[in-house]
Amino acid sequence: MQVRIVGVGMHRCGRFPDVSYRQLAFTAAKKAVDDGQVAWDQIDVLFASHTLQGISAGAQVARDLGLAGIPVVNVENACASGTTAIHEAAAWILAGRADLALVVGFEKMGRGVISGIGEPETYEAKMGLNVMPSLYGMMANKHRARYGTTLKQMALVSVKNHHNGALNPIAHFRKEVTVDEVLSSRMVADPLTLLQCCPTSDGAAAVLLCSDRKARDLVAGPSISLAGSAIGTMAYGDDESMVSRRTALRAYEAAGVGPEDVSLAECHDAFTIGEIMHYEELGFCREGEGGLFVEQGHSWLTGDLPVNPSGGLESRGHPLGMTGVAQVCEVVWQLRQQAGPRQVAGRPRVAVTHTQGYAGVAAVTVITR
Amino acid sequence: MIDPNLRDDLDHGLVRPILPDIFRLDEMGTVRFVGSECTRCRARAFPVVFQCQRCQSPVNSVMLADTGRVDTYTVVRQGPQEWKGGVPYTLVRVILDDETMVVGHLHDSPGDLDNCPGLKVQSGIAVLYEEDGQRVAGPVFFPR
Repeated sequence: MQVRIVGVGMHRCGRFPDVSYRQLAFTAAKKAVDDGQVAWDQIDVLFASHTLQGISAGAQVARDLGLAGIPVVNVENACASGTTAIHEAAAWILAGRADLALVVGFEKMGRGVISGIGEPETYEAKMGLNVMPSLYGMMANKHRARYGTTLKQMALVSVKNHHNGALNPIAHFRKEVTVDEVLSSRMVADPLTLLQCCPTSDGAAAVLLCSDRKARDLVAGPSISLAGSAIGTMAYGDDESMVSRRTALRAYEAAGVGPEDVSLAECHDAFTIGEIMHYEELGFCREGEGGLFVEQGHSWLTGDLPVNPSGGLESRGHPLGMTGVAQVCEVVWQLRQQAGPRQVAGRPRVAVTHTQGYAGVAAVTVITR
Repeated sequence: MIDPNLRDDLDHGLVRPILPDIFRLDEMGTVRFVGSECTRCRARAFPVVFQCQRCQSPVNSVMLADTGRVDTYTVVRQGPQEWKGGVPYTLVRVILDDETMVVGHLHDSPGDLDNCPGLKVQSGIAVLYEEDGQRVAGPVFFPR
């Protein structure tokens, strides 16, 4: 049995001080349900992905949607929350516990670097270590020292993703940037400048997952499948690349495909060095060659393996609980060839989404047409 | 590595450690960070853990090696809200001589940080900030 993706929808990303997370989630969910042309009373379970919205935010969203009474599962797994929610919703369907699952990822973010993560009164909190740009700054300097990755190659990730985001009407930032602008923007955590860091955005996305059996009763459209997915955590002694590498292998194995089959990807570009490392971890290029991969144009919209056609976290935005769900929305639009001016060329058949986050978590999906 | 005046102030309660038992002075007066060591496989971890992260066996607290090499670094220009000290500050990930990985602050850093990976460092203590009128000291690394 396979899990089908029959509906997707998003609220655009940005700063919405007068809009509640419930309104954001409602908009995204309604769009997904309208897209799938399903009746609300056919939804068996709601998975709600969020990290900062407090206790049982999913139950509030369920009530707003008129879904009170069905099971609601709140999912928090740092930046990988949305992908994890999709992975878990698929498990419900594969286990026969649900035929139609609605996954809604939503978040309203504060300003400035993400703070307050981890437990207070710990070494990491007291010493000022829990600041995400610094973790990626250390990764960047290690990659530079070990493989010769250049600042220009890192800046090109930002240039590429802002170019894609400029073509995406739901992106937070729709402005192209140049290498010089990226490198001369304010330093946040060496060598990462501001334009190499994702913004803090508000937003919401929703996906409808469906069993094979139920999909046959729905309105016919392009058959999009969640062919495989996996979640993982760092093991003792792992470096920061291992968790995504291992999780991707498990997702590929579950889907019966390999990286050579992938037509496009949405990956976790919270910081530019992350995307370069993820090319390697997802098997798109050899270890240490991520910088060359973007410099040679492979991951650009016109390349042979476009990465982050949505604009990624850097341009579309990174509302934490939303991101993994938004990535799936994007690849579904791409596989349906509904992505407008940012549509990747050819007839893409296999897409990968990838998120990773605080405390060494990662999640990967493989989605096929 | 500890400034004698700072040691005196710590002994007299004029400076307080950032966390209890995060560092100790060995019999030679050398600053040693306190971590965990597995009673079965001897895997070490910093800061202390409840049980071995590799084999789940019980752990003891131990004084870690006082020297190591920088694996990587960054300079934080915008700290988290909970950080009470100033910016910028330099963070280093150090592999101690006993293989324990420690992320901490680097003090008295060399001018060109691009040469920082591979730098030999020594564990030490320094005042990191003031809180409620009292100086707070924490574990840091110094170039050797």
